[in-house]
Amino acid sequence: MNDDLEDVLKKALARTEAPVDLSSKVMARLEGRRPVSRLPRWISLGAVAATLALVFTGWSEFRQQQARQQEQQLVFALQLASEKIAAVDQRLKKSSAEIRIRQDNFERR
Amino acid sequence: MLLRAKGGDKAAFGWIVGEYQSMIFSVALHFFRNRATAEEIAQDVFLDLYRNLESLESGAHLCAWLRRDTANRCIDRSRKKSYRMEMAQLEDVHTGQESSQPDFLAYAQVRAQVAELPEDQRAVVILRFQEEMMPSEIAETLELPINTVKSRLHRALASLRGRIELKRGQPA
Repeated sequence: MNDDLEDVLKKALARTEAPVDLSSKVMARLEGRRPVSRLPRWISLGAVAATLALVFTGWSEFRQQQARQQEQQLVFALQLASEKIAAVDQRLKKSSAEIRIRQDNFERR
Repeated sequence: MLLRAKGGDKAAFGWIVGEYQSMIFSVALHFFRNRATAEEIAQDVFLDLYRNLESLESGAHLCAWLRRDTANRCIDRSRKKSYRMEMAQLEDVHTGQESSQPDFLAYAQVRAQVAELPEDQRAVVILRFQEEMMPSEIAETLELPINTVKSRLHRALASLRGRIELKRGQPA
């Protein structure tokens, strides 16, 4: 029984011919695709390395520019602070002079 | 030919397609009993092959790869919802000289029963009886333990035997 069934299955499931145009359809679909890269691996790797280098250089430049901007901002802030300190110093000196004058006047009496 | 195809020779790849198209088409056809679906699967397998040529080392490796890719695609597709719509378009798909043979209807019934097996059993049955592969070869191709293959085959044959006997017993 087993052999009969297996024999029947072999005959029932025998290969059948593919459609005559299957091969041409496959090739047409391949032609319609972007070509698969056939470059040597070392060229592909080189391209990747060059891209990474460019990206890194660009990033490095960006960071340097950021640092320059921050430096400029710091200098500006310091200048502002310096001007303010100078103004305060000026007022202190003026106040100090006024106090001495009043003291002198008081002692003379 | 494989070496030339790997080097980009489209004619060599075309030769490979011609050499293996019947095998792939037949597996898919027996799986789905639908020529349009079988043709789609076959085309997809060859496009997949083209993308993966570099990984293949020999003719034997190529053949095993094709069988595995075809079986897996058939199983995956049959698990999708849209497969139920394709079931409505089932046909018996063997035409030509076989139709003149006395057991044509019997073979058609057997094919119909095979197509109703669970997909994992169906794949094993088709590889076993269409490709005449031994269970160990099927296990290697599908990357399954050999006992799993034997178990699926055993259950499939038991199921088929029961169904075919049942149909024979039905009144005409």
